[in-house]
Amino acid sequence: MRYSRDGAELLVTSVSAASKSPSIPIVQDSSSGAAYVARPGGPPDTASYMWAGYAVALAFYLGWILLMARRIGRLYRSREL
Amino acid sequence: MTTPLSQPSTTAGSESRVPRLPLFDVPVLLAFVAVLLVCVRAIWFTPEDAMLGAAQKIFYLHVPAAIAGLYVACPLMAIASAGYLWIKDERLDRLAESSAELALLFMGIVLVTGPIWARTSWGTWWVWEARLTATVFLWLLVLGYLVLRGAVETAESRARLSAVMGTLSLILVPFIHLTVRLFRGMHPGPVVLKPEAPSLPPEMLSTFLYSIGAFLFFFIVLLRQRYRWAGVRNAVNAMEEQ
Repeated sequence: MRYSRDGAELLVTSVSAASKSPSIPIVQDSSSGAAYVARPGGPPDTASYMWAGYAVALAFYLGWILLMARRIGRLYRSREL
Repeated sequence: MTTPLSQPSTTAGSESRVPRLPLFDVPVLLAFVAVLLVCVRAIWFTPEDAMLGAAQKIFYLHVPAAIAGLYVACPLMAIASAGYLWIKDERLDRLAESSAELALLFMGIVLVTGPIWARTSWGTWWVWEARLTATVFLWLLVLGYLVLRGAVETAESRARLSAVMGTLSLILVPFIHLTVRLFRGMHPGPVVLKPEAPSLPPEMLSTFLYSIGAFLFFFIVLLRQRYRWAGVRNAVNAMEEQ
């Protein structure tokens, strides 16, 4: 599997040791030849940041839709009075 | 002179000249569903980045919002403003106003989701580097445009003054786009639109392209609603002045 990182090609390969330990993804930067070894057990747990980002975006969109609903409601109420 | 773009079904009585404007029509619902599906795909059916983990998936929100806000809404606002200054058509003023509001919304999402992602990627919420600083400046310019519109009472003066301000925003858009090449900063460069092959694996690339399509569709639908509301508002204001 390949993953991108700041435009450089990264090669991720899975290595399982003969002694049944969990596979450790090894990330290699093919452009410079250096190898970046990820932590044992996989990538860092940043799920809370992901959820925060999605929640904020959803709040923005819903907030704007609510604002439009209020505007449309106010427009028609002003014509009824 | 007010020239609403569309005149949908009307009701009887004193409201007979006020067009009906549903907030949730079919295109809006379709766009909302498309956005939700893309978010589901991004969160649960797209692999994580090996270095950044799940936080990298903010990419599928952040970049489409930047494309819609920075590369579509701002130029549209500027072009509509310039067009208004040239031919003085009220519809162009409405288009500029609607584009500005959506530019504020989408760029606001960029400026909030970016730091959340940056915290995991750069170890800090914010750096005052060229692209981020210029984007904040453009966001403030668009905010100033909308504040100016609220401050001027006469419709013709409001349109003319805000059109001048709106036209100026076009200068910043190409500058922001080129900052990653002109200045050495922390913000990553393009991963798809570049001379080399895209630096995303196929699974991520497909989600990215779907997210761009869904959010651009969403933007167009919201712009349409906002533009139609502006037309009805102007028609109601014109009736009240008579």
